[in-house]
Amino acid sequence: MRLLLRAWLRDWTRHPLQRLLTIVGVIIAVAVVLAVDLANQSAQRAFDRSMIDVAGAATHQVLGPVDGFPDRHYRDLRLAGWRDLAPIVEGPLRLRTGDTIYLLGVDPLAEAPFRETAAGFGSVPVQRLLTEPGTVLVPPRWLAAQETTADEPRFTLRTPAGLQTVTAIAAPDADAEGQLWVTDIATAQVLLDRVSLLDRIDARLEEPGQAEALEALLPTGLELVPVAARDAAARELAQAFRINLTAMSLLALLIAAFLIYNTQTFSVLRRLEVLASLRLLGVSREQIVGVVLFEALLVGLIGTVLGALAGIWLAQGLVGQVARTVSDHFFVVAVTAVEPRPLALAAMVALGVGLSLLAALAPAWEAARGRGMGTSGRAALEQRAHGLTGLLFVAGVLAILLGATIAALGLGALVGGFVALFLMITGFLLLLPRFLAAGLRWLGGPLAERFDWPLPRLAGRSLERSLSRSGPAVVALTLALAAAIGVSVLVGSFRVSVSVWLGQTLTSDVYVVAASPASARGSAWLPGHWAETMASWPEVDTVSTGATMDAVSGRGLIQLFLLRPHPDWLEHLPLVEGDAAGLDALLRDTDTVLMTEGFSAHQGLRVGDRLEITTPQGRRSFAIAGVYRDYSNPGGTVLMRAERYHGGPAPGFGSMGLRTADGVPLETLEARIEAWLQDQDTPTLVTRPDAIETESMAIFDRTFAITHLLRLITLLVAFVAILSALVALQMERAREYAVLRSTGLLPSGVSRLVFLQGALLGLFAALAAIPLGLGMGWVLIEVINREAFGWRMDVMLPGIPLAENLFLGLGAALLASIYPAWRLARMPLVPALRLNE
Amino acid sequence: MTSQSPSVLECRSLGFSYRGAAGVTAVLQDVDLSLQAGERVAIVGESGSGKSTLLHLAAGLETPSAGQVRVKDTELGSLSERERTLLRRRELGIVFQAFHLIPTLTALENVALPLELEGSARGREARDRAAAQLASVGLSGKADRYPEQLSGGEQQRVAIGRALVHQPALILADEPTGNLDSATGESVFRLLLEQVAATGSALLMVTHSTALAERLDRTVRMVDGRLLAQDEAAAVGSPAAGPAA
Repeated sequence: MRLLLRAWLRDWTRHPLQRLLTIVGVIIAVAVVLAVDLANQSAQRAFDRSMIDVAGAATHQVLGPVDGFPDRHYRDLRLAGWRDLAPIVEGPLRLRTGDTIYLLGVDPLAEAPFRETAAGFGSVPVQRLLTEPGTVLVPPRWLAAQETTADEPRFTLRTPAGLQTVTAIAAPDADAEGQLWVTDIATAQVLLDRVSLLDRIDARLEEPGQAEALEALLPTGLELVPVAARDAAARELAQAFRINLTAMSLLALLIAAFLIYNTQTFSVLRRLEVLASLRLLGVSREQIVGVVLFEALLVGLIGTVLGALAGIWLAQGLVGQVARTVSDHFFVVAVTAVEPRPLALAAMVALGVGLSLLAALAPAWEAARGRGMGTSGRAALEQRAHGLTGLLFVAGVLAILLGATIAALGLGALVGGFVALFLMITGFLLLLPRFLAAGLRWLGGPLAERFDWPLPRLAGRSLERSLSRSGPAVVALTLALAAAIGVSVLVGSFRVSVSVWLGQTLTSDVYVVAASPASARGSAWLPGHWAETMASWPEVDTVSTGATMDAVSGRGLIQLFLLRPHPDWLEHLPLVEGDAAGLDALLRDTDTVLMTEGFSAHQGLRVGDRLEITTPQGRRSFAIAGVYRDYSNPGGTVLMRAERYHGGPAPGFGSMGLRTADGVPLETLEARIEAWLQDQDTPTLVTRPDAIETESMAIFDRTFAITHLLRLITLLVAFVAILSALVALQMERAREYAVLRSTGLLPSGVSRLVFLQGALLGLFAALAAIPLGLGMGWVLIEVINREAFGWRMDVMLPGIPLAENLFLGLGAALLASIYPAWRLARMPLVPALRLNE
Repeated sequence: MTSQSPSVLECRSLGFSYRGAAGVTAVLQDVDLSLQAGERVAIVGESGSGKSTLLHLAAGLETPSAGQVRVKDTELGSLSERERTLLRRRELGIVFQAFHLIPTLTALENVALPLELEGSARGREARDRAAAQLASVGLSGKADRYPEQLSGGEQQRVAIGRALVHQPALILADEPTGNLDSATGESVFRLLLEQVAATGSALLMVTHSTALAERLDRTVRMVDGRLLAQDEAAAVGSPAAGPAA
């Protein structure tokens, strides 16, 4: 057995490049899939951690108006005998450096049963929160990463009450992650400008009937909401994002599978003669299969180990991107460590080793049966490959039809969308070998004849007769390029839609917004009288105000957008359902709301339905009069006139938009606002719509930055696939090239031939990727995106990405041709001529 | 052949060696050989005696370690790889023992290949000339067959057609009947001689068969990498004569 293994494995030293390519295939496959999985898991962990830190072990929350409720209500409840309650003041704040932190103000005496962050109560740091105002507990890892040598450094925060300095002490929980800063409630009330106010009261109500009893005690304006209702929405959104990432990693997996298959089968097929000789010497079939699978196992193991290391390294880069996206859209999270889970690593071993074994199994079995030996056997193998194209074609058509049916009927919601997408992708890929064979036949036959092209004839026919090599390589490249196009279509269409929507929405000339980041329930609030004051200025034509807040509704906690609009606002609102005529009066005079597409999709509500919403006057039923397009909140928003919510003038709002009076330069109005704001206590930001648009688009681009990275990785995989296919062709057809050379083909001619073959594969893949990529983009937009977010958008044909794609395909293929072309042109002829003699 | 004919191949003090694990191995030593235009010379010798290496050196497929090879007054050692290829394209035709046809080209296309590479004929003209050549080797009815659809003898006929279609000055044949049965070998050999006679090319043929060698103008024998003189060759004795091996 030792000699047998030696006979088989000595090829590693004789053809190291081939083995390297095989191992690289496994490494890339394992690395990409593991990296995306790790990034996903780490972000999810950070997300869960944030939810636990903030919501803790509470089962319910007492919520009131968005600008807070008096903290005496909490005292009253404690005095009434309710002990399992914890008051909270919370909100995001920005450090002077620009980083955002999330401040959680707690009552350390009431906290212990609720949150891990206060589990160390009794420890010196937590006690200091009570005794030393302006002290905050900061995650130790975050603190360690700061460039400060002080034991207890001081940090300056931009707060609604101006710049404030706090003393940071390391939280007792050494594992605390992220940017959640915990402080005593009194300090938080000062920092967040909510003196004597609370944002919520957390409650642990585990006994039956407790919730009802507490609810009965609550004064008007306060509501008891189950926690599940609050974080379910956020969790669902993060889930949608994760699904998109997982889809990308599955795509990478699919491409990687082709790569592993291609390199593994080739490494066996190329040595069929060795197997034939061994069989002639009396080696049994089982031994042949054993020795081939042993090598595949070896390749799989080496590739998996190195791939896992590369994947962990890659994940460090990805995880930051993912965390940032989650922070931008959902919640402030920070991930500081990537920790591979044993299950994920086991899955990677199954992927790397399993795919390697699977790919080697078929040729090993062929070899053991004595088929496919020698050059005539190789021809027979190719003949079988040609025969198989018909079968694959039929299977492909069936898969496409099935996928299209699922997509058209909308079966299975989001999962159904993904199933449809993968069926259509797989179906399309199965069609390719047949088209490739036909195309190459046409090129090597009638086309080359007509234009009298000897080299294209040779290139075309050689590729056609090596369909088992050229087929998988083209499929891998097509898939990578199609994924790039699909993502371009999605991102491009999305970007244009968001840009158009921002243009429609931002109809004021200048905006005044609260300086604190408005990403959570406790966002900063501008005084209500500001709108009236500014509206009275001669420089101002009209003023609009907007406020985003979480409100309790019959559908759980929802995002409410309270608007006091410009008079012509409905002309700019992208209404997709409902009648604009008379809508303004309806919204102003009756309990009527509008909802976004996302809200409609998530809640399953339609125009004409009613929605119960808790307002300062109590719970009221609102009619839904229309649906409008909005990309600001993936979970959807309900729009209501501010005065209807408040039952009169709004006491405050998050932002206001001003339009200049005729003939007044914008700069004049801005100067007036800035001068007026000097005398006000509330920190604000004056900004123009283009700045908001720029910031919004920057967030948008950050969100999709990860897809570009994955696109590059898939292209790298495809590049390796083409390279390995061309090297395979070069080795298999070495004698043929040697004959051509001895017949008079120049070394440069051989190089041209190889480049031509690479270009043909690249061109075919690039052209095939266009319909597949556009189809993928369409399904992503019309099925998956709609199912995940409920957003509709116009599908844009990405002209530049399509051209880019063509160049990328050709470029990757030509780049992959350089080495084989160089090697073949310098190949010693005599040994090559003796091959297989 | 007359000694006044111009020399087509001239080997002077030719040597070839390679460095292996066991040190330097001399494959060919001090070989002098000359072929006149139209002359047909056989190289015989045991396996490993250096016959094929001599042929490869003459074709410019290998570079000699010592000495010179001249093809029609052009010294191969002074040429670049590209120039050697161009010379091979123009002046040489090679017939291999294992045929070495391009499997992705039909019989006709295989024969037309040297014309297209050389550029002396393209398109229809190349195909017409190739068709004529194919007819001359008796395969006009199988022009559209691929190599794998032809018998061994037919494949070698196509190879001969390919080697001669551009009327080279020198044909190098390495055991052209080595892979064929005796009857087929005989017919292929006869065809090769006819074709060489028709084009006026010189022929340098490596063979194991003394019987075939004797039918050429001259036979040289190689022993351990050295070319024996005519009288030495006679002294060493002829191997058993027989059909084409």
